[in-house]
Amino acid sequence: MTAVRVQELAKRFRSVTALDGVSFTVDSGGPVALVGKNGAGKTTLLSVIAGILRPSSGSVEILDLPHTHPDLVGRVGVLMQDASFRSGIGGLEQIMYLAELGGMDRRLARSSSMQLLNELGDDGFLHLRPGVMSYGQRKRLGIAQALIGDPALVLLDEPTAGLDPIAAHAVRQLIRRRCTDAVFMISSHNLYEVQDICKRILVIDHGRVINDVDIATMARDGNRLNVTLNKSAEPGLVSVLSRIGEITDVRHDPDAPDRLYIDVATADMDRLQVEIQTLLNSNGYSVTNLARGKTLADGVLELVRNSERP
Amino acid sequence: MSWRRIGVILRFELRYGALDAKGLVFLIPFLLLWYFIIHSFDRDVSAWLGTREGVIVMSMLFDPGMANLLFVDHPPLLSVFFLLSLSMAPVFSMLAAYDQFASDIGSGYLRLVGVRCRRLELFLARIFAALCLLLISHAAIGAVAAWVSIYQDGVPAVEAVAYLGQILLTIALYFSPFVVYMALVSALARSAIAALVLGMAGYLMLLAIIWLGNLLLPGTGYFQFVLPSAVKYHLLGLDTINSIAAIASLPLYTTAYGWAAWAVFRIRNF
Repeated sequence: MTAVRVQELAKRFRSVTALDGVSFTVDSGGPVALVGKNGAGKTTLLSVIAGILRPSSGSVEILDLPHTHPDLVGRVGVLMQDASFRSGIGGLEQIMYLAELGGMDRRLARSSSMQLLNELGDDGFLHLRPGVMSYGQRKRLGIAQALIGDPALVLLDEPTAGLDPIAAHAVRQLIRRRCTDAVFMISSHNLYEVQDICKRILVIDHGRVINDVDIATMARDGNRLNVTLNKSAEPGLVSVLSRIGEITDVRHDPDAPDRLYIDVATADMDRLQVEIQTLLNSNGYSVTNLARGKTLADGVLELVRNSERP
Repeated sequence: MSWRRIGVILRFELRYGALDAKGLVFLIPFLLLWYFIIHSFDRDVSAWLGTREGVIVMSMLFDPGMANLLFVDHPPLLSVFFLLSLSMAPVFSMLAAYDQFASDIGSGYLRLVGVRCRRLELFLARIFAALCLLLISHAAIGAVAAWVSIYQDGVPAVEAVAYLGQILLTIALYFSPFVVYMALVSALARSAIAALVLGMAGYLMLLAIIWLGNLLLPGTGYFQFVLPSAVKYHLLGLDTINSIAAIASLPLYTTAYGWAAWAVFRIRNF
C-alpha cells in the first residue's frame, strides 16, 4: 500500500505559486524529510497533503484513498508550525479532546494522552493552559496531538525547532520508536537531525521537488573527505594539501577552523587517505576524525545551487 | 458523517466555549440585561399588565388583539420574556455565535482539529453549540420568569410551563437563521472581532437597504423577507395561519443561510 501519492500538485495563492507540479510517492520504509529554503513550499505541501489547504490542481492520495476521503479522518496526524492551541483550555484536556474525536472513550483518552506526554520527556505542564506554557512546552503538546490515536501518516513541520537538546532528543527517540507503525514526513531545516532520523529526502525549491534521494546514497556519493584536526588549520595548509595532484579542492569550515573539506578525484581513496594523513602529520597536525562522503548539508546545498543555475 | 464526533465537539464547545472570552461576550450582557429586567419587573407591573388598564396602554404599542393575547390570554411576564427575546434575537444571536470559526481559523487551531473530523461535522457541531448556548441561557431566564408567574402572579403551573415550552420552541427556530448567518460571517473572517463587526455591519446594512427600498421604491416591500425578522410579528401567534407560515419559513431561512455558510466553509483554507 502506498502511504502518500502526490501527482502534478499545484497550489496558487492569487499570483503566488507555492507548489508547481509536485509529484512523488512515499511508501513505508522510514521517515521522509522535506528540506528546502524558507518559502520553498514545504509547509504548503504538508498542508495540502493533510487536507488543510485545497490544491489548485493535481491530486493527493493517502493510503490509496483521495486525501479528503472520510475513511482517512483521524488517520493523519499533523503538526503545523503556525497552528496554535486554544489558549484558555488546559493542555491535557485539548489532547484528550482530539483523542476522543479519534474514537477513544474519556478514560482511554486521558491515559493515552498522559503516556504520550510522558514519552516526550516532561508531563509537568499537562494542566497548564497553552497561553502560559513556554514555547518548548507548546511544541511538545503539538507533537503529542499529532501522534495521539496512532495515526497511519504523521506530518511534522519543524518538530524540534525551538526545543532544548534534551527535549529534541526525546522527540527524535519518539519518532524512531513510532516510525515502524506509521509513515512520517518531516519538514526540517536541521539537516543533522534529518540525517539522524530520516531515510529519504525530498529537496523542495520554488514549489518543485528538485531532488528525491536516499540519504545513505547521498552520503556515499562524491569523493569527499571530511577531516577534523587537533588544532586550527593555518592558512598555508590549504596550499600544502593542494600540491597533491588528486586533490581538486580544499576548503575550511568558516564556523570550525579545525575542520577541512577535501574534494578528491581518485580511484584509490584508501591510498590517498594515507597520503593526506602522512602529509598532515609531517606539518604538525594530527587527524582526530576523518569521514568519507559528503555531509547531508553539502549535498543539499549542491542540489539547490545546481537547480538555480540556468 | 459521524454523530459521535459531532457530540464530542458539541460537548467540548459547550464545556469550554461558554466560559471563555467569546462566551462571556454574550453571557455578561445577556445576564445583566435580564437581571435588570426581572429585578425591576415587580409584582405590581406584572399584575397590572393583565388588567383592563394595562391592556389599553399596551394596545397603544401593539394592536388590541395582540395586547389581549399577550397580556390577558397568556402570563404577562412570560409574554414580556417572549417579546423581548424575539426583539433582541439578532443582537444576542450575533454575540453568542460570532466566533464559531473566525479566531480558530486565524490561530490555525482548525488545522489541528480539521484532520480529526470531517468539515461538515465541525460545521454542524459549532452551529449546534452556539444554538445550545443561546437556548440554555434563554431557558434559564424563561424558567425564572415562569417561576415568578407561578408563585407571584398565581398563574397555573401547567399553563406557565406549556407557554414557556411554546416560547422556547419558537425562539429556537427564530435564533437558527441568525446563528447560521453568523456561521457564514465567521467562516469568512480570520478574527473574532472582525467577525462580530462584519456580522453586525452586514445585518444593519441589509436593514438600511430594506428601509430605503420601502421609502424610495414602492413595491419592493417583499425584499424585507430576505431577513427572518420580517416574520417576527407573526410568531407571537395572533393569527394561526400566518403563525404557522411564519414558523414554517424559519427552517427555510436557516437552510438558505446555512447553504451559503457551508459553501464558504467547505472550501475555506484553514
